[in-house]
Amino acid sequence: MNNAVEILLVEDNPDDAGLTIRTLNKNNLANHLLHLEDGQEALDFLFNENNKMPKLILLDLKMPKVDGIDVLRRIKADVNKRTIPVVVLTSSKEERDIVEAYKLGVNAYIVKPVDFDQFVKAITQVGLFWLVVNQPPAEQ
Amino acid sequence: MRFELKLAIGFMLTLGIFLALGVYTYLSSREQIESSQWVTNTNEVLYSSQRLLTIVLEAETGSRGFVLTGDSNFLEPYNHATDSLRKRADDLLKLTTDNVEQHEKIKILVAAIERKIEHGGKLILARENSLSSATEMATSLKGKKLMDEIRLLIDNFQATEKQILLARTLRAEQQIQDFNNLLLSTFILLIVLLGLMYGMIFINLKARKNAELELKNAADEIQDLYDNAPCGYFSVNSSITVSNSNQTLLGWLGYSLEEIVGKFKYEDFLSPESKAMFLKSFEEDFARYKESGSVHDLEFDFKRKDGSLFPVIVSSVAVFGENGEFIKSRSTVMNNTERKKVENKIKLLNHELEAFTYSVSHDLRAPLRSVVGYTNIIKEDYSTILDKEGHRVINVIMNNALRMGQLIDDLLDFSRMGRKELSKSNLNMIEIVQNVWRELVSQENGRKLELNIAPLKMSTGDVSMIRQVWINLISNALKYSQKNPITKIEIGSFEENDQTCYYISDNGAGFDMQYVDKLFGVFQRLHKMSEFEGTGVGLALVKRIIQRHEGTVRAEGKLNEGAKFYFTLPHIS
Repeated sequence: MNNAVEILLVEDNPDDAGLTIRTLNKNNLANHLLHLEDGQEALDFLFNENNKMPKLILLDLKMPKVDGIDVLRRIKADVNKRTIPVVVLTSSKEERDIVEAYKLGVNAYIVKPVDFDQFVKAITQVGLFWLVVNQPPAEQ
Repeated sequence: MRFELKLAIGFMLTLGIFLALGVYTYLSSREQIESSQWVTNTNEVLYSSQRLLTIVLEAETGSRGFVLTGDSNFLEPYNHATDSLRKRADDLLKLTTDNVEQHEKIKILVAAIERKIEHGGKLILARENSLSSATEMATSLKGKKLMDEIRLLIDNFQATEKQILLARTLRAEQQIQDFNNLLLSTFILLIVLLGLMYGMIFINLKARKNAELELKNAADEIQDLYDNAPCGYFSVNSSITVSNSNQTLLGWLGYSLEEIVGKFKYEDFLSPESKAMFLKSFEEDFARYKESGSVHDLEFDFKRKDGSLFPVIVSSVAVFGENGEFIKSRSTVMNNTERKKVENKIKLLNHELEAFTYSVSHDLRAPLRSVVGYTNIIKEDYSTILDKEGHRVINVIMNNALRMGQLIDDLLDFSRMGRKELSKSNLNMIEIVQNVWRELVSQENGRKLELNIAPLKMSTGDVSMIRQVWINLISNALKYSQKNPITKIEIGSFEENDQTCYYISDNGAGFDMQYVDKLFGVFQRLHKMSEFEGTGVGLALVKRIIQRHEGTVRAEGKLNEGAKFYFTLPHIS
């Protein structure tokens, strides 16, 4: 159980990922966190039958190879994986991205604030909510 | 008076004059015949009266001869004269029935002659008895007296008759003279009349020729305008077969007029795709068209003779007959090729711009977040080894990065607002303003605020955009009046030039009217950062939104006395 991934962070910018991981760490939420750097890696991980599925996916949108929207589409189209909460964490508040993400069934859409205090607040709330407050369906 | 009426009157007048002339000539000639008859009559009277005298003289001579010679041969004229006299006298009596005076004179004359004949008879009788008694009788002068009386009567009669003859001859001559005069003047009148009519017809014909020429020139000009218009024109008849087209359209299509008139139907202009669309609902569309009389801005693709296609916009007007039946349809064709090209170019540019801003919103904010985030980490993790200046520098870095973040956000908002599709609905303006006010005031702690919202008129627009306008205007009013002990804000609306004008005024810092033109420009600011924060995008955004709603913005202000911003929106449609 210790090796099971709780949070899957898909983010191509290592500096951004660093800030996110640091924030989650400060709240003791990053003990079982896996950081993947593009959409293809995420799909490879998620669609590998040997891997146990994470409790939460934090997904960036603009990434090389396969972008976040496509990853989201694949997850939500899959009967077994559509129950995994996916939270989009992105720099953009483009309306079409927000609309598209919600159409595909995203569970939350967070625009990462530039302001550090607000950023910390947002990441902390997301982590606590989905891992502690939220009740997921029983594992299949 | 109209030409035809004038001509008819002239014609009738001429005809009338001819008729009158005919009647007059007829009457006049009858009168002349009558006059000449009267002259003849008078001549006959004169002749007869002369004859009468002659007979009397012959009888006298005869009887005298017999008296002198006793030869009965001399009596023959005498015997003959008696009969002739009777006859002549009767003739004369008949000829003079028209003149009582002369008639009476004849009677007296005849009586005198009879007395003379009687005397003659007595003389002859006396001779037969004896020469002496006859000679005695003859020398008694009785016969001479009777003869003198007869001469006198005849002279008198003839004198009167001659006077009558003279009068009648003069009258006949006068009649001919009068007739000739009238004939001459009538001819002159007719010549003048015909001359006038000819002149009138000539002038009219000339005017008609000129009018025809003008008409032809006008028709040529219209045809020229028709053929060389910058748009295509064509007409179809009631069975939508092409009946005419201008050269512009023919040029675009590559056909000649003969190739399409009477041969092409409306749909034969269309590309297969447009044709299918056109024919799909043709029956209903055509019925509706005949009902409304016109149809506008139909977008089709037309097919050229060589098979290539070009986009057009067609508008048509139906033409109806006197009984309201559909006769034909006239269509205007705009070549849409250039517009489509431009549209595609704009689409492409918009697409590029969108890709650019999308990229900006991702890629520009991420590094800023790192700058702010990692500077914060220094602050948190290394605060003990930083001195006061170190902390100040870190704050400077963070503030500037944050400000840049704000600038990027505002610019993206501004750019997005220009491209976003308007979704218009009726706006309950008072509700929007009150909601925005509540949200913004909740962030203002401990300020003394006086808000006065007059009843606001409804309008139409994109609710999220107009909400953004109020957010920017109200937050500006709050921001620039924050240094006042009491903030007074007033919001209202009024009608202005077929639009509704909304305004918001504050008692804040205001501005100098000489810079009013800069107020609505992007990144234009009239205050220093140290006085009031801001990126200079807010009012530019307001202007952009209002302009997209076909409204206008303006501002009034006075330094340190407050500002008043106005914007207009169209009435509810």
